[in-house]
Amino acid sequence: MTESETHWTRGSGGNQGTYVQQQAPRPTEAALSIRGLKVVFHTYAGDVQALDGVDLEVQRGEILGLVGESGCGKSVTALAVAGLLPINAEVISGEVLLDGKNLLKMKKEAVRLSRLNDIALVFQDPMTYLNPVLTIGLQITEALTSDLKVFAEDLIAARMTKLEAMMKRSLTEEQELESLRRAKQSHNLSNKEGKRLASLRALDYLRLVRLSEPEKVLKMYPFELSGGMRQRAMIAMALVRRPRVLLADEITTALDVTVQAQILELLKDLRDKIDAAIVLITHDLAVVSEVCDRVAVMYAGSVVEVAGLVEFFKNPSHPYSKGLMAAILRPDLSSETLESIKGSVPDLINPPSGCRFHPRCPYAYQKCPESKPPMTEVSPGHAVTCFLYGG
Amino acid sequence: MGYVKAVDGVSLKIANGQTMGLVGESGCGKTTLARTLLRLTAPTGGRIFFSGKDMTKAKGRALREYRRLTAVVFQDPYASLDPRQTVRSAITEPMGIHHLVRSRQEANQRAADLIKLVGLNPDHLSRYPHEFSGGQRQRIAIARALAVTPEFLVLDEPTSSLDVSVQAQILNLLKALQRDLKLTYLFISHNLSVIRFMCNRTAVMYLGRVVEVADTSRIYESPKHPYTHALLASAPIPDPAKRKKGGVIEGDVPSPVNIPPGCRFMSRCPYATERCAKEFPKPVQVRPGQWVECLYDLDLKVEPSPGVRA
Ligand SMILES: Nc1ncnc2c1ncn2[C@@H]1O[C@H](COP(=O)(O)OP(=O)(O)O)[C@@H](O)[C@H]1O
Ligand SMILES: [Mg+2]
Repeated sequence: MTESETHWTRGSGGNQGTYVQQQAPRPTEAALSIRGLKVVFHTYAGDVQALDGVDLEVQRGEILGLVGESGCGKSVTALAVAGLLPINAEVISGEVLLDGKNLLKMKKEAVRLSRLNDIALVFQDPMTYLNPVLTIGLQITEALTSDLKVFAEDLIAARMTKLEAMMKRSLTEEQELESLRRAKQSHNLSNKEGKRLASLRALDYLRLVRLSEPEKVLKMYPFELSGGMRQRAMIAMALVRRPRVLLADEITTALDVTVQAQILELLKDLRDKIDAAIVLITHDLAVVSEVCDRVAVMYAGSVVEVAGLVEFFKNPSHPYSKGLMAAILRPDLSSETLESIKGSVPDLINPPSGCRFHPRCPYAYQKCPESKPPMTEVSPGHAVTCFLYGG
Repeated sequence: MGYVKAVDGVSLKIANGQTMGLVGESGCGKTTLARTLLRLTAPTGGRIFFSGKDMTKAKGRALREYRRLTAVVFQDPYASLDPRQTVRSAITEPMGIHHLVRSRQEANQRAADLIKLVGLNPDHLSRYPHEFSGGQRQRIAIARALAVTPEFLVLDEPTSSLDVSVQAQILNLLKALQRDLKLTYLFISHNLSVIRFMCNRTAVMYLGRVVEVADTSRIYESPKHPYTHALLASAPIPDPAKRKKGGVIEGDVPSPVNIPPGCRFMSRCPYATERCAKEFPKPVQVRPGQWVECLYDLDLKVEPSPGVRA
């Protein structure tokens, strides 16, 4: 077993395909860390300076909320990590470290494998990414058999665990178990056998994302599913790779509020089961508050504030974060007045100099347009890029 | 505004200068209801009254006058403005249609006044929609809606495609305009926080029916329909101390194609009984001004789910 498998232990005893977290202490180093990431898009109108030195870390077992208004670079950050930037994008500088290894410096094939195995991305609109003519079951089976080398071990182990957990096995089941033991020893799984195990395994994943009537869903086509079910199916497909980093980009934005609440519940449940680092990308601070452990606020291409959830909501410190907090309404309180942030987000072809927020900032002074403020820690785990706090 | 009864069941009455909220999930019929009461879609039942006059079957001059007194602002300012039209002609066009101005100069002067009213400046009049941000376009759409000097405005998800900081600007603008021009609003949104901020009264829709209507504070503090309650319990709250812990309502919004007999919310309702499957709930006034379509007088509490306080 390689290190990447150890944090995925299957529950025993006729289980429903759930995962049980191993009790071993988690390493404290980040699963994913992004340092000084700069990305530019070359367009006819000019170069869009989309990411202006993004710094971000996510730990295993936590949900980090990446929040900010549209166009601030949340999706570009996710695409850069997943290696899915469009061809007019150029990574100018920076590092994307996955368990300490820089993806931007590795050999092509190694990067491909790392990303394939360790990073999964789920988007707002599952219909664009699901194959409309394949049943959900076949799509998951296909994902599981696309790289049999990668998945064989998991497929064999999952089936063996289930067989071993049976109180009584029939003769054919005994034979199956024996041949699985051999396959495990020899690291050799035929395509046909792989397919069979994968289709059994697909059901586990549908259960993991708590789809009701998973046997029925296996045989359904994407158009037969509701928006919430589709999003669950997408998450199931992402989890097939047992990623170390799950990037969820506005996955509840198109959903109705009751269904959104269900998907957010699911995310919290998964956090404890899959032991991956989860980045929840959203424009909605209320969603962040419901599920995240930490918050990173982005503005015009950089992370301007990072803090623990409770600390952030008690003590938002960057002037932009303060403005955002004052501009959000609550369903549970009535309010007479509402603050807004003056102006609008800047054009990233000609972004403001220095701190990109300075033209809208009520506290801006002479230093702000002159240079970019560094990240300054205001209390343990709470950092802000603003000259008001030093730098 | 008199009262509207564009669908069967609960009547909606919007008092002059007030805002009625219409909240519900996608496809529940909010926009259809709005279009019906603006007489853009033929009503299939119910009646529409405006300032005491029955507008349900109004024709000719009466309908034209009704059209002038009502206007609508849609969610998507990108789609509602013609990309080939300057802001000036977008704003002056409805004035011409309703013969509200005698000369081009007068139209241009009014356009300049309107653009200032919505927080932009007259230089913007000669530009095209693509030159503006989402928030600015929504301001232009509001100016265009106001060009006919309406008394009643339907605001159909006017801030749903905007960022929060810009949303705040537009909501504040709408409140100020209502105060200064004595406008009456029907405010449609799926966002419970926005509805709470904007509306005096709130109607909750589910699968084509208004299932509850009451003063906004009542809706949020003591809802009587289990769907209203479920919506409130699902709305994310930007406060870690009030984090939800399980207990969210199950199931998806059913498609309006197969509407079950009896109560439409039955399939998802935690309180449903056999009676709900057979009997169609008639609107009942449970308290003064609070109408509910539910067979039972349920005691629904709005509070953070148990054991979540940090
Ligand atoms: N393919 C592209 N070509 C040019 N510019 C792009 C492209 N994709 C994104 N951008 C620009 O990059 C910036 C960040 O976009 P994005 O990450 O999508 O924002 P968010 O997800 O936070 O809403 C925006 O200014 C956007 O216009
Ligand atoms: Mg995005």
